[in-house]
Amino acid sequence: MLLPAVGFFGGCSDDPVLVFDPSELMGKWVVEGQQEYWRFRTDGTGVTWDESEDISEEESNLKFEWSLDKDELTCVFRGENENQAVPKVYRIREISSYAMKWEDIYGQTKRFRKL
Amino acid sequence: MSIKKGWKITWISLGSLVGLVLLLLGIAMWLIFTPSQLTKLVNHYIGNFLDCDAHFEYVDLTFISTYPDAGLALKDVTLIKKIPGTPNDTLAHIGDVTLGIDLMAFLKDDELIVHQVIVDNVEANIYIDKEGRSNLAIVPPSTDTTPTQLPKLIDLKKIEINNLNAKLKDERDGIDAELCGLDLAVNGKIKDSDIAGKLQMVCNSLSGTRNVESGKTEAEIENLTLAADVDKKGLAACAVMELGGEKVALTMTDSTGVPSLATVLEGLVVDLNAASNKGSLEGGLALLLTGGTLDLAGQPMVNETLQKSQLPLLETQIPFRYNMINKKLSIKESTVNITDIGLLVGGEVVLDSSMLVDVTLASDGEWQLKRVLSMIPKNYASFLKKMQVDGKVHLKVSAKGEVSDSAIPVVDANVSVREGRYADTTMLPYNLFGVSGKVAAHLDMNKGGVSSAKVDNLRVKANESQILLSGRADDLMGNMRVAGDLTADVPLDNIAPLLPEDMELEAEGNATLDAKVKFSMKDLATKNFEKMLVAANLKLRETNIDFEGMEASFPEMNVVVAMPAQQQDGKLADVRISGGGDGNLMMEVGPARLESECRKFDIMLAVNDVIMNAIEADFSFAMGESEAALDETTLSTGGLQLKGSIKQDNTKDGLLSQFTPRLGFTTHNTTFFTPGLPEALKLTDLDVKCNEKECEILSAQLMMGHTDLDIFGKIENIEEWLDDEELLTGYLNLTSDYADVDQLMNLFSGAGSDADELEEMRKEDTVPADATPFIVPRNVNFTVNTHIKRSVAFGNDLRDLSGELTVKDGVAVLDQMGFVCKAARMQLTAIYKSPRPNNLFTSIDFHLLDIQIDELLDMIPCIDTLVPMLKAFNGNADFHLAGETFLDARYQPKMSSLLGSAAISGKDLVVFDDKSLSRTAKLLGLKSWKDNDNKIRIDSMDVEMTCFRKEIEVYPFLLNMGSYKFCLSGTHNLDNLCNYHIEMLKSPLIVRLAVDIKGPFSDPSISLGSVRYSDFYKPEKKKAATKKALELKAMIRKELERNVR
Repeated sequence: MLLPAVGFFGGCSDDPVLVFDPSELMGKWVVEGQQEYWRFRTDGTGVTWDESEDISEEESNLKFEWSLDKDELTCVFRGENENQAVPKVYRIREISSYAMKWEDIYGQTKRFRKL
Repeated sequence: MSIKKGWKITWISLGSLVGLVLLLLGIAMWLIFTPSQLTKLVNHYIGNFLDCDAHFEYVDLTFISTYPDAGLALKDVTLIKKIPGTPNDTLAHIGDVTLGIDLMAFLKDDELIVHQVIVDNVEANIYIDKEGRSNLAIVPPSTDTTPTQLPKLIDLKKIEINNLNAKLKDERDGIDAELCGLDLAVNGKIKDSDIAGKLQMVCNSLSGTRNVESGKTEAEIENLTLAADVDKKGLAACAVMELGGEKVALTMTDSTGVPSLATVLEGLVVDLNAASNKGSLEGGLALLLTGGTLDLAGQPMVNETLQKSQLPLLETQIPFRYNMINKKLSIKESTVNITDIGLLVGGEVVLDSSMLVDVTLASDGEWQLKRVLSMIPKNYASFLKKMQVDGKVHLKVSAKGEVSDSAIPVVDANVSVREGRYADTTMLPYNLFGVSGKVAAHLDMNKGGVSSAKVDNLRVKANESQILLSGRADDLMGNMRVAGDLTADVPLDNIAPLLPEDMELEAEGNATLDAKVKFSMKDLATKNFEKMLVAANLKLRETNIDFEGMEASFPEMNVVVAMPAQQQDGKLADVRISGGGDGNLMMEVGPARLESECRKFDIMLAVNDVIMNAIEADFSFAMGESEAALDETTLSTGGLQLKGSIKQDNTKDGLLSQFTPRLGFTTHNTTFFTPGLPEALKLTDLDVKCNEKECEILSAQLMMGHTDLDIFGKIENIEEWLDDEELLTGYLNLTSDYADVDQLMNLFSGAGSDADELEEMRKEDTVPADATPFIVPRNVNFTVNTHIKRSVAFGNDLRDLSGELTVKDGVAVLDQMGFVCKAARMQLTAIYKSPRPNNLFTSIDFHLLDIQIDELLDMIPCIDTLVPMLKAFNGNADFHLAGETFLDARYQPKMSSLLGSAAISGKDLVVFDDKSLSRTAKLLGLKSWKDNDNKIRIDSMDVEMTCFRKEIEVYPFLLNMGSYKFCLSGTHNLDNLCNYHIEMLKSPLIVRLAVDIKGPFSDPSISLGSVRYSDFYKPEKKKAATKKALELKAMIRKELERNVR
C-alpha cells in the first residue's frame, strides 16, 4: 500500500507501493527535452542545475540531501548558507539504468534520461 | 823779456838738434838695417822662436805709422804647420803686421813693450785632430819653470785686426767653423790692479757646426758687433758692453736627425753695463730682438702674429744690482715687452749654497686677452678652435723661497679679468660676456705647506642670465676644504638652447639661485655629510613651461635645500619646495587632458641619512586650495597635507619592510567627480596614518549627494596584500545620518579588480553593455560595522540600520543587519557574490516582526508573487523569509536556481472580500462569517511555504474565523496557475465541506472538493503523511526563525 506523499495534502492514491533500490538513483540525470540536470551521490547528497540559464554543476546552489523510502524520494534543500530547509517529495514511478520517471505531489510527472 | 826770448831760441835750437840726431839715426838705421837685410835676418832667426815654418816676405822698420813708437812692419807672413790630417798646411797667411814698440823703454831699460799691434788681411786655418793636437801649437814649450808674472804695466795703445778670415776644423769635438771679415780694435792699459780698456769688433759672418754622436748643432751669425769698455780703478769698476747681431741662426738636431731646436734671431742687440764698487755690482741689461723664429721639436713657438708685428719681438731693460758679498741679485721692476705685451719682472735671487728667490712676474697693466691668445703657438692653440675669447686680464705671479732638491718656492698667483667675452657655438649656444672677477692661488708644494685657491666675484653673463661665483679652496694638496657661494639669475627661456634638440621644451619665467657650500674632500669621500654645509635657495617666478604637451605655470615657487637641516631640527638635510599664486598644470594623459590649479603648496623633505641603500628621510607635502580636471573628471580640495618617513633596510624582505614607510594624510573639503559617479564625492575631512603593516583611518567624512559617511578603523596586511600573499584586511566603523545604498554599491562596484580583467570577464560572459552589475571587490577582507540613521536601499526607506557588512574576496555579507522599515523592525542577513557578471548570487535571510501586511507587500513586491493570497489580508504579521537565487547581469532572477522558504504568523487579521472569496464562502455555505461591520476577521494564521524554482508550495495551515476553522494548502507556480484546497475543519454546519481552487489566479475555477484533513491537528489520529507534513512545516519554520536576533 502506497503512502502517497501527496497524502499529507489530503490526496489519496490507489497505486501500489513500489520499492526501489537507492543505488539505482545514483548518477547524473537530465530531464528529457530540457537542460535540467540532477545528480544523486552515494553519500546521500545531490545537486540539480539548469544549464539553459547558464548555471553549471559547480556553480549551482541547489544542493540537497536525499532519502528514498520505497518509492518516496525526499530531497531537502538547505540552500547555500544552510539557513533554510525546503523539502521536496517525489514519488518514483519507474527507474532503470537509462531512464527514470517521478511524480510530484500534484501528479505532475518528469521523465529523466540517465547520463 | 830778453831772457825769455833767449830760452825760446835755446829750446828751438835744442829741438832742431834732437830732430837732426834722430834723422841721422834713422838714416843710419836705414843704411844698416835695410828691409831686405832685415827680412833675411827675421826669416833666419824666427825659427828659433816658432815651432812651425814661418816666412816673412817683407820686414821693415817704421817710425811714421807707429809714431811715437818704433814700428816693425811685416808683410805677407806665412805660417805653415804640418800635422797629420790637416786639410791645409798653411796655418795662417797675414797680409800686414805692424808692431809698435816703446823705443825709449827699449833703449833705456832694455824692455820690450809693445804698444801697437795692427794685423790686416789674415787667412787662417786652424786644425785640431782627434787627439787634440792643434796646428796652433807653434810656440815651443817653455823650459822656464818660474811662474809667469804679468808685467806691472800693460799699455796697449792700439791693437787692430782687420779683415780676419779663419776656418776651424776640430775633429776631437766635431767642430767646423768659419769666420769672415772680422775687424777688431782693442786698446787698454793695465797698471797694477787698475784696468782701462776698449774693444770694438765687427764680424761679417760667423758660422759653424758641431757634429757629435748626440746630435748636430749649426750656428750662423751675420754682422756680429761687439763693443766693450772697461774701467777699473782700485775697488771701483765699470763696464759697458754692447753685443749685436743682424741675424743669429741656431739649429740643433738629435742623433736621429730630428730637429730639436731651430731659431733665428733678427736684430739682436744686447747692451750690458755694470759698475762695481765695494763688493756690489750695479748696472743694466738691455735686450732688443726685432724679430725671429723659434722652433722646438719641430713646432714653431713664434707664430705669424708675432712675426708680422711692427714692434720688436722682444725688448727689455732690466736694471740689476748684484751684491758679491751675499751673492744677491736684485732686479728692479722692469718691463719685458713681447711686441705690445708688457711683462713686469722684478725681484731678488740669492745665489748661495742654495738658491733663494723672491721674484714677481706681472702683466704691465691689463692685457687684452685676445691679443695674448693670438701669440700662443699654433700647435698649442688648437683648443681655441672656433672659440672666440677676449677680455682684459691682469696677471701677477710671485715666487718666494728656496730652490733646492728639497724645496721649491711658494708661488702666489693673482688673475683678474673684466669685460671678458666668450663665444663658441660648438660648446655653448650663446655668447658669454661681461666676465669679470678675480682668481688667486697660493701654492706651497713643500712638505707641510698649505696651498689654496680663491675665486672672488667671478661674474658671467649670457643673454639675460647672470651668474656670480665666489669661493675658496684651502689645503689643495691635503684635505681640501671648499667653501663657495653661487648666485644666478636666469630667465628660463635662456635654458632652452642648452637642451637636446629633440626635447620639446619651452619655458618662460625667471629663476634665481643662491647657493652656499662648505665641505672638505675627506668628508665628501667618507660621506661624512654631517660635517658638510649646503644651503641653496632656488626661486622661480612667473614660470610657464610647455614640455611635450604638458603645460605648467606657477607664479611663485621656492626650493630651499639645507644641510644640516634648517627647518627640521636634528636632521641631516632638508628640502622645502613651496609655492603660491594661481599655479596651473595642463597635460595630455592618453587621449584625455588634465587641467589643474593649485594656489599654494609646501613640500618638505628631511633626510636623516643619504648613504646609498640606507636612506632615512622624513617628508611632508602640503597643498592649499587646488583644482584638477581630467576631461570630465574633476578634483578640488581646500587643502591637503601629507607627512611621512622612510627608513631603508635592505636586509629585510619585501618592499615595504625594506623602506618601513610612515605616512600621514589629511585633507579637507575635497571634492571628486567622475562621470562614473552619480554625484560628486566630497571628502569633508580625512585623516589617515599608515605604515608598512597597517593603515589607520582616524577620521574620514565623506558625502555623495545626500549620503554622508563617517568612517574610522584600520586596514591591515598591506604588505602581504601587495605581495599577493594575504587579503587586504580592514576593520571599519561606519556611521551615517543618511546613506543611499544603491549609489554606494555603484561606487564600489568592481573595486579591487583589475579593470582590464573585469572588462574581459564582461566580454566572456556576454554582458549587455547597458548592464552594470555590482562586482564585489576582490582580494580584500573588510568588515564594516555600520550604523546608518536613514537609508534608501533598492527603493526602500530604511531607518536605524545597524549591523556588520563583510566584503571578503568577492563575497559581500550583511550579517544580521537590523533596521526599521515601514515602522517595522527588521533583520536582514544577505550574501552577494559576483563570480561572473552574468551569474550573480544572492541570498537573503529576512525577518520582519509585527509588520503591516500591505506595507510588506509594498516594500517587497515579489512577496505578492510568492504568496498571492496575502494581499487579501490586512493587519500585522511576523514575516520570516529566506531565499537565494542566481541573477543575470540585469539582476533578473534565474528561476531555475530559485530556492526559498517563508513563514508568516498573524493575528486579528482582516480579510478583504472579493468575488472569489464570496464564491468560495458561498460554496462552503458560510453564514454569519462577517462581523457586524461587514468585515471578515481572522483570529490567527501560521503559514509556511517554500519556493523551488517556479513552484511555490503552501503547506497546510489553519485559519480561525470566529466559529469557523479552515485548513488551507496548495501550490501555484510563477505563471500564476494555482491549485489550492480550502477545507472547513470546524463550523456550525453538520457537514464538512472543502473547496478546490484551480486555474489562473485572476479567474480561478472554484468547486467543491473532497475533504483531506480530517486528522489535522489531532495528534492522536494523525496519519503518517500528515505527520510528515507537520514535521516539514516545523523544519521550515525552525530554520527560518533560527537567525532572528
